[in-house]
Amino acid sequence: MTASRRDARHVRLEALHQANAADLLSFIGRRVRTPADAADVLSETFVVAWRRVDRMPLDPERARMWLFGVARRTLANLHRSTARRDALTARFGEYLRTLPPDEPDDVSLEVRSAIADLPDDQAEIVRLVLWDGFAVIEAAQVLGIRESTARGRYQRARLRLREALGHTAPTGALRS
Amino acid sequence: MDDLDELVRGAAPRGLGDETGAADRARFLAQTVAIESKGVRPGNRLRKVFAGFAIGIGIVGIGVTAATAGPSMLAWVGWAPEAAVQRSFSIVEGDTTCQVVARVLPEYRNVSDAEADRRTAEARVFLTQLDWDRAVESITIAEVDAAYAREQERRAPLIAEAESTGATPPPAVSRGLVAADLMAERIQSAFHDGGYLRQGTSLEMAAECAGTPDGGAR
Repeated sequence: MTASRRDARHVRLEALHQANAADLLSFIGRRVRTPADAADVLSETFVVAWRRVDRMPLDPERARMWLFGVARRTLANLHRSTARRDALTARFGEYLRTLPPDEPDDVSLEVRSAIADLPDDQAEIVRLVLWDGFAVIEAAQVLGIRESTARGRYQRARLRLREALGHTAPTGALRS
Repeated sequence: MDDLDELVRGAAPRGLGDETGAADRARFLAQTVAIESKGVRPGNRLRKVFAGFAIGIGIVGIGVTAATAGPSMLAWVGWAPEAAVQRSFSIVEGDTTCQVVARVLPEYRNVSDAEADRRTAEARVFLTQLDWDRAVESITIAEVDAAYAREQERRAPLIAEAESTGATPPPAVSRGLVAADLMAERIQSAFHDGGYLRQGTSLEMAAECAGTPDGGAR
């Protein structure tokens, strides 16, 4: 890769990080045990993305999905290794710890429990689509699977959730 | 969106990135990693991201380059804008001329592709036909100063953290770029009031400010 191409990629990656930093933080925050852990994962995600900048897709939307894919793999690695904590990341973690705790109501707790009871691959696609706001085709890119696989997985997850939560809808049973 | 979608969405843990201070720190962390990875200090450049209702707006402010209308403007922004507005401000640092350019893009999520295309086409007509000069003429210098003070206050904890941790502080912000942000916010508000900020459509904007030592036109 020529120097100018590499420079262009660096500029694009920096812009990609800036544009998606808040969404990445929310994405990671929903998948770690304590908010403070999100600072570590976010920091490591940025570092890994820089290391792999040559693999960043040229298409902006695909680049965004690629970045969330990096974050997913970093989350997985968190459980296998201790993330590097520099002073800034530690301070960020302290800040996140000061935020008011998430206090879900009973219905939300039941929904979250139903999602957690799904097979992992189904639970994750539900989170990606309904919590993180990705379209199914985008979720497929984040997960590195075919769109048809993602659609099937998502439909099966919805069927299970509808069955599990049929009595939960505030206005009565969910329509089937 | 059906009742199951609504139920599950309503149960989502709150987004840490929705909290302003946390989002600022996340972007600051991104900048710090970028500096470490590239081995260079940041230039005179500021990037800001605003999140509106179901859309993302990226503001790219680039200082010290000449502000000119016409094709050269496309070079600095990197894409072909569908609308552009320019205004000069007489601020503490001197006269500055800011340009904001915008375009509408479809967002193929949560609505059908055809509906996203239809909404985008409607928004594009609105973008290209509205009188943006009128939309930004009401911005006052006092408003710029107040927004600048708020921006300084917002950045203060990040600068303090940079000093205490040895990280590179966030790039300086100028009144000119704050003025450009206000111009962009006016455009965003007009879109919101017109009912065009909705699922299926995104509005992308970029801003550039440059000093005009000879006073420039107002």
